[in-house]
Amino acid sequence: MYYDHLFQMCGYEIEDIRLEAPRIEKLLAKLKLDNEEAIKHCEEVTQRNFDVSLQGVRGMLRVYMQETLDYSLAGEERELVVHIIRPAGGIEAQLLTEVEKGTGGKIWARSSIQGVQIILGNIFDVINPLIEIGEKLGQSAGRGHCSEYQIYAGALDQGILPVPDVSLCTGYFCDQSPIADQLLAEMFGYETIEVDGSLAFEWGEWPNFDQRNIEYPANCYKRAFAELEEKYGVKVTEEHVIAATNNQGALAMAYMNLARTMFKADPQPISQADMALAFYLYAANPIYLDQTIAAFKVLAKEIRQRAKEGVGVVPKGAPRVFVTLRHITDMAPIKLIEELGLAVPFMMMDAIHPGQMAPSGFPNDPWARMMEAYYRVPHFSDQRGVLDWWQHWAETFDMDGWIHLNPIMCRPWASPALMSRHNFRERGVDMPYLYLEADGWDTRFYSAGAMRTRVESFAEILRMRKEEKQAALLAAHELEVKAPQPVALPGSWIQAATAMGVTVETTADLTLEMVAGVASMMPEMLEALTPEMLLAMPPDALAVLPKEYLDRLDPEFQAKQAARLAAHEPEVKEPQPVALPASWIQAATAMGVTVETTADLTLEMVAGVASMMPKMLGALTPEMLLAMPPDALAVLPKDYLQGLDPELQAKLAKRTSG
Amino acid sequence: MLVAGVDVGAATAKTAIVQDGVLLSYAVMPTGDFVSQAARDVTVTALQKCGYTMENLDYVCSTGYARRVVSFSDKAISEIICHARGVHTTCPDVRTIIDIGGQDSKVINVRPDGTVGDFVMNDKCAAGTGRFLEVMADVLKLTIDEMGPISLTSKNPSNISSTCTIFAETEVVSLRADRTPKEDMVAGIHRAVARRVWIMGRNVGYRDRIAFTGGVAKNIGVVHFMEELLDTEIVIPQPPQIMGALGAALLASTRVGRQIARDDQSDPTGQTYNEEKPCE
Repeated sequence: MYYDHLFQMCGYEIEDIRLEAPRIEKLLAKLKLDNEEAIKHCEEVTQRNFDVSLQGVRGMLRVYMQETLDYSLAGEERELVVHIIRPAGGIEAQLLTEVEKGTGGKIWARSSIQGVQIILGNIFDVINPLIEIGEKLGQSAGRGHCSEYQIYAGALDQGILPVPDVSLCTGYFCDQSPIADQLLAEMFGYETIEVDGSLAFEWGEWPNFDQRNIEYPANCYKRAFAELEEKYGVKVTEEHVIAATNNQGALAMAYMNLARTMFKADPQPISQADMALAFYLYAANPIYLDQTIAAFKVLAKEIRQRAKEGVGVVPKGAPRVFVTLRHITDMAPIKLIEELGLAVPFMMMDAIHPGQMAPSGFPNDPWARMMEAYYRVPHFSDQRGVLDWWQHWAETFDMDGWIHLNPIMCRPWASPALMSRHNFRERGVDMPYLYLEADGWDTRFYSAGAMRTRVESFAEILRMRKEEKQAALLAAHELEVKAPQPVALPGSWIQAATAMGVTVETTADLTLEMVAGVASMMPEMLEALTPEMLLAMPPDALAVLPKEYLDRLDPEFQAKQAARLAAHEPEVKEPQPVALPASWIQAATAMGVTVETTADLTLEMVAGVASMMPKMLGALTPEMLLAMPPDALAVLPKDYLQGLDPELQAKLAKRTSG
Repeated sequence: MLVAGVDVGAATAKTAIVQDGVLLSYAVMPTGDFVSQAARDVTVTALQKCGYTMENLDYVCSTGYARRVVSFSDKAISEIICHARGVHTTCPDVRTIIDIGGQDSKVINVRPDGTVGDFVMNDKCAAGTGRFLEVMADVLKLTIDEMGPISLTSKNPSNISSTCTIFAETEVVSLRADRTPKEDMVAGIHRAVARRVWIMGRNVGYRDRIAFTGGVAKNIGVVHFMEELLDTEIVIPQPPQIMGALGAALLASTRVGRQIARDDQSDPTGQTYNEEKPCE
């Protein structure tokens, strides 16, 4: 058939295509893509967006396509359609799929909107027309709540998605979502059940919340499900919540393993556009859990293989940037960043922050635990937490710069960029920064040419800085061998010191207190120092010179000064990886993760074992513990650590704090 | 080595001819509809001024928003990097550049070696650009060259929106209906442009000395209000519009930029796109 090749790109075998042909043809007819020319265009779009030579990518696309078929045809194939738009993910979305599974396919109950958009935008290229229909229906540009609701409205209007029987409309992520949802319900004629939230997080509340902020939405959920049962006979129990939590845990573990493989590799083995497929499967919680985890596993293997062969989408040693947002249907910005030679090893929520691993404040209430887990991703709760999050990952993964992709149309996520940047500077994070406005769906919100100019300039800045850093390290090595001789100080310094009862003659007599005192009280005296004097100063005194003073100096001197400081930083020897016990390797394999040595351990994995299978910690030897990555070590439970030999405890504490 | 730096902006195309690091000549002309042709014409003109032809060029480096469609270019560099280098060569003690062109505005921090420390650029909005002044000149039936001197004669500049060109236009129409003196409206317009860019630049900070480049730097009204807002004297490298072109020419022999497969036979309408690859 004319669509065989496209569906093969999306991971289908010919036999599967034949079996699904009636459903595929119905979907293509709804999309008005039921002809060869249209499908040829879709093939080109797919290849532009994704590397379909990767089996893992094809596997993920198949899950998305299957979700799209199920959702699009749910109105005619199922007895009841229960939908939830926001949040399109989290344990809550898994909860609905658990409910659906329990009905033996009678009802469709999912949160598939993001997954469907991935296919509608990145494969079928129909997003902007749907947005325009959304605008026509009253969600005009700038007043559309967000593109997601415009697309949803457009898809309902065109019959691409079924009008649900009932929609759970939630206000605990965005205060505008329930309003948009209820207006659409009036327009298209469906029922709504509201799930409210307080959204009253205080600055700095993350990750330990005021109990009321968690219990309120949790109770709203319970009430909403009681209404769902009363009106539609759909029963949701605590067992469903527990199963959903476990499913989400397994997905998180598999995704984090994949993401870790990306951080470690240089050159960056695959594009972050391909990783977006994995991210949104992890975030959007498909019903096809086993197929998703299997695809992740295949992709992880392919990434490792590319890393081994040194194959990458950017040059080896490229500057590394942290990008704050993953786009759903507009892959152009991330492709541009990579095309211009910047490596993007880490994006958005690609790791579990230690703040998320704190013991739950609601150990006996699965509903509250569900909401707590949701809000522990600070992007859903506290902006101050988001800044903590960004700083943590930018520093942990030794980034050269960060790109703030600000979704200006998203009410909860559009952040005050300038203030965020100032806040970062106040925290001492002096990292090159680029601010880009983009929507994530709607390509009309930015000028591609202007974006290119900015990213290109930013890439040049980062490349130059990286080269300077490398030159400084080389110079440090030379300086280490040849320590400078003390140089006589200027008369003004000797006199000032004498007046304060201190005797100094040469640079060797300078202390950091003395230099810091001069810099704060008599900064004009710094002008009397020559480059020779500066380079002959003790490193600790050199380190307290004010930045604005150093910035004015000759760049060559600045490089030498940085080198001299670098030469005196204590060298940290990383322990060699140690083979893990067989029980750990087997347990990880069962969860779709490949581990061999302590170097493969992630904090998510260790935290998972500690909470779910604490007995397995007993298999770890002191050598294994000492060789574990510090972030994984940091999440070991206190009571376990207290049971270890005191000397070992001290060593582990040093490693964690170091 | 004879090098041409070609800066193709929204309003004007500029070329600087540099031989062994020394500026020989330059030319500026409107970009018009045919971008690549404008780039070629302005380069031919600049070459004629110093007695050379296209055949004599050893290397061409393009910049500006249309840098990638200059069919005779060897490599393309973003205008932010080029402006910093051009200004650094002309005024080595400058640490901040305010550049306002036809469709965009930028504030660039320059490091002591002429490289870019940081920058900020306007989003897709004409407020704070030369286009804002053009629209307002049209409303007030003035030429763009008349606007600057008139603005300096005002004692009571009008309060005009700096957030949107269209809103500002309606405000000016209302002010005119209220018989507001022309000089007050013109001064308000200039202050709005200066204020918009000044606020944007605070994102990266201002460090002395500050230079002003781009076509709008020739407007003494904007310069005046910018100095007032910054509370410091601003240096204007001469001529201010060619700093990007000059920087592009001076960066020709460096690793900066992305190579373009030279194609002298391309369509003179400038629609040919040459694939780029990073300079090794």
